[in-house]
Amino acid sequence: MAVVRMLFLTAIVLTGLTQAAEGENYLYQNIEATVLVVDPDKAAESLELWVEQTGGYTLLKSSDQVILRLPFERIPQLRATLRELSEDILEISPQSQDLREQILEAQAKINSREEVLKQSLALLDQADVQGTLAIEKEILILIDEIEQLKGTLQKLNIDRTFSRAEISLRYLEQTLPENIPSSFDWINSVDFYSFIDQGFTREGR
Amino acid sequence: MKRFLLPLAIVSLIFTVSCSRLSVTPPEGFAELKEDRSTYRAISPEGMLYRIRTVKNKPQKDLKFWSEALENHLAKEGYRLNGDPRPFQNGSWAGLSFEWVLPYGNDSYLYLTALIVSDKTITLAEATAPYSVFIRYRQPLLDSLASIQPLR
Repeated sequence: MAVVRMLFLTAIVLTGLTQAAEGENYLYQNIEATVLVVDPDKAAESLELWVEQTGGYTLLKSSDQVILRLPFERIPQLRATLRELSEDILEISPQSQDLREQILEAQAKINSREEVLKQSLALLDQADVQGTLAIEKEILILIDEIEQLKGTLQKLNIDRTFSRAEISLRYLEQTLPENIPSSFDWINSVDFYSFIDQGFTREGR
Repeated sequence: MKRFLLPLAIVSLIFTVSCSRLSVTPPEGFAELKEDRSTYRAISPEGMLYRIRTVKNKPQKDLKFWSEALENHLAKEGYRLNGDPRPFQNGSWAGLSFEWVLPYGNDSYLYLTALIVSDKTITLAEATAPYSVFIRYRQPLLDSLASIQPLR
């Protein structure tokens, strides 16, 4: 009977854990993409506007690069947005990292240090002057470590909530035009390369 | 009566000459080089080139026809259009400009082609510069296009 009860309780606990894990994301997703756009400044503006609408934010925006943090569930929409605003997606490389282990490790370290801190504080009342000084030093080290670990944990939580997207905006056309003759003579004289090569010389007339 | 004829003839001559020369206001900041009556050239301090020339409208067709012919040809050659064509107007003259994107060296260049079509002539304007320079002069360039008085 006791075994049955134990199995039943274990099942309840496991079900609870699974349900909690399903609702949360522990993957840090990082996408690096290079897209060919007509107007890089306009594309950067559009991406900034879009990411704000999704609840994310812009880390960096320039004429050749945009770095975004966006809610992880919006990653599929990012691909669609890039397809929509670019002439071509030259490269896209998604990467992901499971943060569960790092989060658990940070939490465990915080818990153990907080426990030691509690014990140190309790010892403080009973200690002599020398002992008090030693304990205070220990306490300061512990507080510093706990703060650092809390910062790490906070960053990990941000990373699992907000994916990162680094988008390089390229303007350079990839292919050179071919010289195809036109049936109209004057149209054959409209040529960027001969125009620029002749420059401001009189042959360029 | 005869004494009025000479001044009248001079005025008529001046009028004829002025009407038969390509007239353009240079884009702001450009140095211009007036060449002959059918060609105009100007250049910015960064070296952005601007050239206007005239060719015969033969076979005689309208702006729509020649714009499509030029657009189709350049697109077929592999020029990439940068946005939609821009119409412009100077009095009774209507024109259409296209911006193209092209690689040159390690830069991307914008190349503008614009047409104004009259019964006898096609006025063709071209301008080019690296992207960052071109966008700085885009508006002065469009203003200059709208100032073109083609040959009659």
